Amino acid sequence: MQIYLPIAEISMNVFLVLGMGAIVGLLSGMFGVGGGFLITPLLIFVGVPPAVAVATGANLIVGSSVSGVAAHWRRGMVDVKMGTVLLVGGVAGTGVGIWVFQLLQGIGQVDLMIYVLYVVFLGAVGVLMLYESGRAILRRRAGRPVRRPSRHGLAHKLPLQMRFRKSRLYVSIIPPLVIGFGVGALASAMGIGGGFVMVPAMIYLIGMPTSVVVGTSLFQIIFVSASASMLHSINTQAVDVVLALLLLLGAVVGAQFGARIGAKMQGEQLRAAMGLVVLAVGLGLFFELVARPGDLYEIAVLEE
Amino acid sequence: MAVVRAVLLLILACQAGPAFAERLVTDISERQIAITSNFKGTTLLIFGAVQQGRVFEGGLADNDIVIVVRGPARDMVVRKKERVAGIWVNADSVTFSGVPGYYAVASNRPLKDIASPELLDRVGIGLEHLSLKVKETKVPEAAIPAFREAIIRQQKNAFLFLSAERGVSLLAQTLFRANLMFPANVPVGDYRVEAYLLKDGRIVSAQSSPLSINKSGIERSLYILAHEAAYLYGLIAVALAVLAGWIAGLVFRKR
Repeated sequence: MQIYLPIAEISMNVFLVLGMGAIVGLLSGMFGVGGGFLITPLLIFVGVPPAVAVATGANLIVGSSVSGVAAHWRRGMVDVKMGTVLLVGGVAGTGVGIWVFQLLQGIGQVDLMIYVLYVVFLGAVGVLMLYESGRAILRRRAGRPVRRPSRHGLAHKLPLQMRFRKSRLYVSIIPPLVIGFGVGALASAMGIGGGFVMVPAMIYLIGMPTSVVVGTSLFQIIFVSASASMLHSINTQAVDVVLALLLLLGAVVGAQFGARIGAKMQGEQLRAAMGLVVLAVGLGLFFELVARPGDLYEIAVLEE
Repeated sequence: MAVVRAVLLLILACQAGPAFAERLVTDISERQIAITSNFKGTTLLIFGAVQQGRVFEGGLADNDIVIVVRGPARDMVVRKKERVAGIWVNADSVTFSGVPGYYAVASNRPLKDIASPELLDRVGIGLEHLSLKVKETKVPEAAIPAFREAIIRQQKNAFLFLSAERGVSLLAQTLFRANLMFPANVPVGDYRVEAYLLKDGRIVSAQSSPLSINKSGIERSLYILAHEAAYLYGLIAVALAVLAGWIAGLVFRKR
């Protein structure tokens, strides 16, 4: 069954779209990532114009993270206070990201930037998470106690300390603000919520427990991706609501199942699984970047 | 049959009277193509007849019919990828103006047998004879053809450039018809359907009719909303996403 997408201006199979949404939703609920790092490349792969894939991805993440948060909220696993601090930085970062996106769109390098950002971040995050969680799993097997990573990092030394009860932390709000800003900028430029960067940052840089990280990450992603979606609608007019709604239909269902699976896993197992997924996507994109393209020429319509 | 025809033509040609040449009468099956949510592409039937005239400009030569459909012209940029530090990046680019978003040509026999390359170039009949003007580039002249070919190759792959050498069926030198395909990703806008009658390599008669392809229904409304009320569209998009996520949360809690 085909459906014509009014903004993407292509016709796509409904079940293919629903299926892609479901996969993204599953990851979203499990790991606290919006799933944008996966959906944007997937959409580009099936023929959606890159600008539409990025903007529509942002819109999709709004819905999938609302669905994910709902599941985590019921278990009391959302640190609203920390989420809000991250958010303040995130909203400021979004504006910068959109500006960079438009700048690069003008000189025809936006696709390259998206690819390189993906490969660098997915690769780095994937390797780090696998390394750390692998060590934690081995340590647990050996019967030694598992330490929470980075208990006394930078966040404990800087000024403006604040208590975050849900996360059992008393830390400076400067690192969360900076992290929020960086992730917000990245998110809007790449059409993602930034969860796959935010989650490891919260675990390793701020030192939050994995159980709270997922819900809190999703909580702040709702707002970051909503503002990215808004800004894309206004500036690039590339949000395809028909495509976004179909993806959402699959994603919201997937997110509920993901949250259930995630709740049954141990923190380090969850981090190892996420590290694997992130690394796999990063490697796939890396090969696309270095492999000789089928056609060396690329054509595009210049919009007035 | 051919002999009878020749004799008939001879008789007609010898008749005195006001001189009028042969001309084309054509029509198309649809003047408007509406793109709706289940649009999977469509075909357009172009048909017509050669009206016999008193004067035979091409003498006793056979009729040739060529049909050309041109989509809205746009500027198009072609970028060439080059390997820089191991990665493939966009390097040289050429901007062409007046590239039709859709172009189809159909004829009753190969174009090279119908008319000279000069004529085809002048009228813009055939994929190799399309005039794509370079608007902006830093690429040397000698490298331009490769960029031009890239447009034609990729538009052909996307079924947006079509060429059917025997796509026109011509019956008894008079009645003709052709079916042209429009894919689902056909650009919207104003099209022109052109029909040419050629004899002995010369254009004897030409006809042109407009064709409009547009989104309709909800697709059209959404597209207009997205472009003309971007704030409202953005708000609606976000609200829909939140609502969908929230409803899913509720549904799953009850289970």
